[in-house]
Amino acid sequence: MTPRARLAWFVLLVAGPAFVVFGELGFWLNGIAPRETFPLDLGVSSLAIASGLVLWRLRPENRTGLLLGVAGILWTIGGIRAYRNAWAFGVGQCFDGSQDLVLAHLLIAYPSGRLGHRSLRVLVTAGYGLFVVGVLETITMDLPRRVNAFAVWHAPALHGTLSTIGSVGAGMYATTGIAIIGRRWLRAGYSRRRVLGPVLLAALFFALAVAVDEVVQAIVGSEPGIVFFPPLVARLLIPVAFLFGLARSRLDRLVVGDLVLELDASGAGTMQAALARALHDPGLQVGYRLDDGDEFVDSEGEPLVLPVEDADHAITYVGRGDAQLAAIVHERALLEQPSLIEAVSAAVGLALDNERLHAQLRNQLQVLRASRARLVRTADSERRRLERDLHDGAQQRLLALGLALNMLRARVEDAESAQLLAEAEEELATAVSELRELARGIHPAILTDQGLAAAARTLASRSAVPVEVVVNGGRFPPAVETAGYYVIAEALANVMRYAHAGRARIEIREAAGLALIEVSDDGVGGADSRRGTGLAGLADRVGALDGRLVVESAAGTGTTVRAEIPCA
Amino acid sequence: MRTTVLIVDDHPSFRRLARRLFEEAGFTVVGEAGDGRSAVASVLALKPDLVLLDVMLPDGSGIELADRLPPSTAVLLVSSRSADDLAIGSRRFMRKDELTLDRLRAVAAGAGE
Repeated sequence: MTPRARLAWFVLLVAGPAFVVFGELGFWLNGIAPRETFPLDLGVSSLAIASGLVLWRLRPENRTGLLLGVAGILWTIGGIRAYRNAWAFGVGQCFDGSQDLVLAHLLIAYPSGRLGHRSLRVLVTAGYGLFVVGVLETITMDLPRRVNAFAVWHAPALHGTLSTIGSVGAGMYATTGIAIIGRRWLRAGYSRRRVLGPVLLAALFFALAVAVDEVVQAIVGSEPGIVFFPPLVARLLIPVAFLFGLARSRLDRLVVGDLVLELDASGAGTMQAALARALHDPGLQVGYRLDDGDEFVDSEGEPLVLPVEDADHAITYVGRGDAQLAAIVHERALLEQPSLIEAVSAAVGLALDNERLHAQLRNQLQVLRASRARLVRTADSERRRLERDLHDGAQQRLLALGLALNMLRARVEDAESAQLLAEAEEELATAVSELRELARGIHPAILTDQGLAAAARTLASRSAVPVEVVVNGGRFPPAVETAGYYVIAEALANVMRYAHAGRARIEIREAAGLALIEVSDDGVGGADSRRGTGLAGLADRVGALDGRLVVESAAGTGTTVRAEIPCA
Repeated sequence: MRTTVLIVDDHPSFRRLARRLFEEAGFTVVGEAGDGRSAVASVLALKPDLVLLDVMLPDGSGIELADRLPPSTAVLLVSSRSADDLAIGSRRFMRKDELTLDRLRAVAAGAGE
């Protein structure tokens, strides 16, 4: 705390209670019975000064505490009207109600304590203009100077006009305040409402009470003896709300201990939820920085693009030393509780580092998985291209050659030459046939053209064992269809080689975002996916698409090979 | 009267040799097309008795094109792939390496009857 602030703190600490005593005891010193509002007056001013001092002590850079303390002191100055002294009356009369102007300033500037927008600065300045009106009212009062030392200009008509201006101005100021507070409440998120809620509600009540008070005074007049309590209660609620918010903020920090215990007890992936609970921000996000570079990922290792900070969201970076470990994206309102964020950040440091390592590992797994899927897709694409090249290139040339040989043979009359040409045609036909089988093995064209169901029927038609094909659903993504095709082809090959089956069945369907491709037989069973490379290779291919291959093959019960591949 | 033929295939060398083969087999080749779009235009303009239609065309499937042609036009689907790789169904199909003078002469004789 700077020496200047320390001096101001001391003055307020001494002057505040002195004003309270001086002002409120003025009634007794002058033999006047305490007013009905005395307990509330005393409570409001004392509480406002005390809570203002506490807030100012905790957050000296924020003007909220200072303004609250000043409002409390002005309240007591207004009270010295009761002291039987013309100067005390004049001063008290001038300052009567001025505490409301400071309270309005405080609430409009809340929570930063600063009036950010120009329009708000104009509004508050205009509000302080009502103090000048109050002073002019005091000067123009129709009272002798022995009662009011400031009554230098007896002008009852002007006094009445000034009273009306004061009342109407106060009413308008209060109404504008209601609109500002209401708008701020509506625009606030959960966390902001939680932080600002008590003060904003008290402010709303205060503004409503003042507005209604002005209307009542306009109707029935401000006769002595008529006391409208709601504004007094509302003024009392404002410091109470500030203290409540302060106490809750302290309690929130106590929760940090529970947070550490919770993180110790729970596994990885719970950091975000725990922080959201501790900081009362359901929309909170945690991004973990990867070791290599400036990229962030979420707890699942998914890349996370941090949002741009705006009026609603802010980012707090948490680190160790110079190293940034994570970024917490939270509601901007939490910046009003920097000590809470600091406490939480410090408490979760180790767990955060641990969580970050988990997230990094998951990210690496995802990168690996994506890389594997990419490899499979690339390989499939290369196979399709190769098959197409064979079909369009060598195969077409051989076919053209066959047509030419066929026509040539029809022209040759020499029997020996015709025989040689016939042999050449036969060799060529064999070459074309082998090339066709090779191309089909590289990639079945029917899969690309007609889809998995048609390709499965073709495989079934070539099988030596009767195969029933049941299809329920449309086409799947190309990578899924290709994997499914190889599952069916390998499973049917196994049926023919090992199963000694009487029949087999292919079922293709979609359920819950999964492509289910199943080949079952009524053979001897006993297949082991760990033996040989056929089923293991298929499991790898299916796994590359985030799917899984299930082989059920108890001895004597047949074999079922089922691929479950995400296709949504 | 000789049967008229339109040859539809995207490989020029195949079209050239197929034209000679058909002509030697006794057909009259009235035109050639390299893709499905020009095939449709040629069918409508030339009204051939038979369309030799490649299953895989650069702009689509020959099978689907065959279903869109007028019913009065006979279609013989051809491909270097075998029928069970293509889901040909009940349509008339011949592998390209099965196109021989003897077979075409038999077709021509059947068409003339």
